[in-house]
Amino acid sequence: MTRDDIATRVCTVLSDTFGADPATITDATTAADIPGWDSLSHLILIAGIEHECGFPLPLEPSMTAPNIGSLIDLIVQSQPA
Amino acid sequence: MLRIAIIGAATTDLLARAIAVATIQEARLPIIQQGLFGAYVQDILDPTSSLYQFAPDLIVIIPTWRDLITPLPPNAPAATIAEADAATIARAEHLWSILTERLPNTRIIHHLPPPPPTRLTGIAERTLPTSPIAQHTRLSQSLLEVGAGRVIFLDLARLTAERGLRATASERFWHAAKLPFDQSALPAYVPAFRATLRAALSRQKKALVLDLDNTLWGGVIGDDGVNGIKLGAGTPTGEAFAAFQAYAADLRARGIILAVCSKNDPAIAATGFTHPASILRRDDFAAFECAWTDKPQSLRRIAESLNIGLDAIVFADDNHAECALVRAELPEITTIELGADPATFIDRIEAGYWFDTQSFAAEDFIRASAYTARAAAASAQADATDLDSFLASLDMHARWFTPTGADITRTAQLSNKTNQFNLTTRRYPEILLQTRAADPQTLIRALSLRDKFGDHGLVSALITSIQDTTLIIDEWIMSCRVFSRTAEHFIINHLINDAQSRNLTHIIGTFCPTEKNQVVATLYPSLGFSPTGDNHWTLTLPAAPRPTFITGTA
Repeated sequence: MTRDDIATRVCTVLSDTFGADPATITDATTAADIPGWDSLSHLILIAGIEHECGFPLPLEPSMTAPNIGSLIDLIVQSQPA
Repeated sequence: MLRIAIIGAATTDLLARAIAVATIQEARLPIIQQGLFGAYVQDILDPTSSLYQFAPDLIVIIPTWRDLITPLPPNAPAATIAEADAATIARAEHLWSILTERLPNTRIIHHLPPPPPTRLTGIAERTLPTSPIAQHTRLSQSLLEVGAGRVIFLDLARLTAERGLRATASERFWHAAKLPFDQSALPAYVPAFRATLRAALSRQKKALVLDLDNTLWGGVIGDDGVNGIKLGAGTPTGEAFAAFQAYAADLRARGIILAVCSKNDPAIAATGFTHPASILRRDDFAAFECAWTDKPQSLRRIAESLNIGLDAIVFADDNHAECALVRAELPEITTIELGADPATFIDRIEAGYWFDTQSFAAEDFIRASAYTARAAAASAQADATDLDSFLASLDMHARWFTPTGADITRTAQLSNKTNQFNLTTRRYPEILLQTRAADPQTLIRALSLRDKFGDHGLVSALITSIQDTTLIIDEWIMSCRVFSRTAEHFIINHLINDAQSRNLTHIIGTFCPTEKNQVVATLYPSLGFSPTGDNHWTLTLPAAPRPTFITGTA
């Protein structure tokens, strides 16, 4: 998957999980910008992205990713070859 | 409204959401409180904790395998292992006892946790008593045994086995957030929780009503004839229909009532059960509705003839249109669309956990034949010219006694399942009955009945308390199988004897109306009780015996 494909999927899951408007989500969006995104719902988000993309993500790096852009980069790197 | 407290040594937030969904699906509005993370032992022990302030109707305890298993060196001596086992079981029992003592009307749902996902050395672990898997197997079994009648179990071990242990109870979410359960498993958890909720609310399903053509055999009996239907060995389809019949027969042997609801000619339909590969027989069905009228009408007649509520019925049919009609007309009935592949019928029935039950009583194993006998008695009644000669012809004998042991289990089960002949609808879990039975001011009496058609077992019970010179009937329940047979007269005559032998002067009964117990609204006045206000009825002793067709036996 290209980075754009993954970004689209991440937006879908963010919108499903938090009710966020996909149009307002950019690479610079952080957890603080989206109401309801706490440490527990982060795991719901990650499980949702794993389901959507079909491969597992490393949990701890995903928790420390500073914004959506770096989360998408992490997913791109985690893609199986 | 149902107040549910969720406690456990894990993050319960996601399960709490699934529990809320499950409760709403069972038509109750949940108010949920989650205990402090991992502090469930403290919550239970501290009488001032938020748990007790919340006053829940239901407590859900969610332990993980870590609560069940003691880390032991592989070669620990037998005495050490036995000590560790006993301590784990005693801990659980202690917590249940405190909860039951402080919240006597609260039901407890206890999760049996899935086993640890690691395999370590594999098969060798199975026979090593200290291994996590051996401890898990052994202690789960012990919990089931000591908890029977005290708590309601939810078998997460079985659920994860069906879904895949590593996919369901994944360790990575435990490490990240102490989540005991992968969120992808939550939809599978919902029906399992609903089953325990039905057990807690005494709303178990009692009957499985089945279509015939393409449900119990392949093909149409009216067109294909008994030699043309697909059933039994030889083809995958025939094998699958035979397996489904065997499944229904196994449910029947465990106390589930079977009935037929089919658009057919009854005489032709019955020939299907003469097929050499048919496992079920015509007599296995307590009701046999074959008619060309619509199925909702037939199902209403079945509920009436079995004297059970529509909400106690599970209806299974392969036909989409029939299922849609029943769902629309009778939403109280659980309708299962079986589809076109008989090999999936059992899975579709089991997906909803409709017939999950917590324990058996001796009566469960004879219920199916008792209902068949009841149907025979009903047709005898239609033949009899007057009621008195009919009742006399039943040749009824009853035993009046104080229940102990297994009869206490049966009494608790009757209390929890009976909605119609139930004067106060106070539910008595087994543990509470045992406490009451030990109280000298309490008198628990029961009736077992047999007639020419068979033994009905324990069919009625009264829980009474003695206050000064008055006997107060706290609860009176009777199985709907023995309605309208003068059993209530036999019972009140014996209760009057019980009271007078203790020099009591009055018997007081209470009727608390519910949606389902209108059948006993006038029971007390019909037995000679006078109204004394506020749904209370009083009988002044001595009182004349009521006429009955039942003979007492020792």
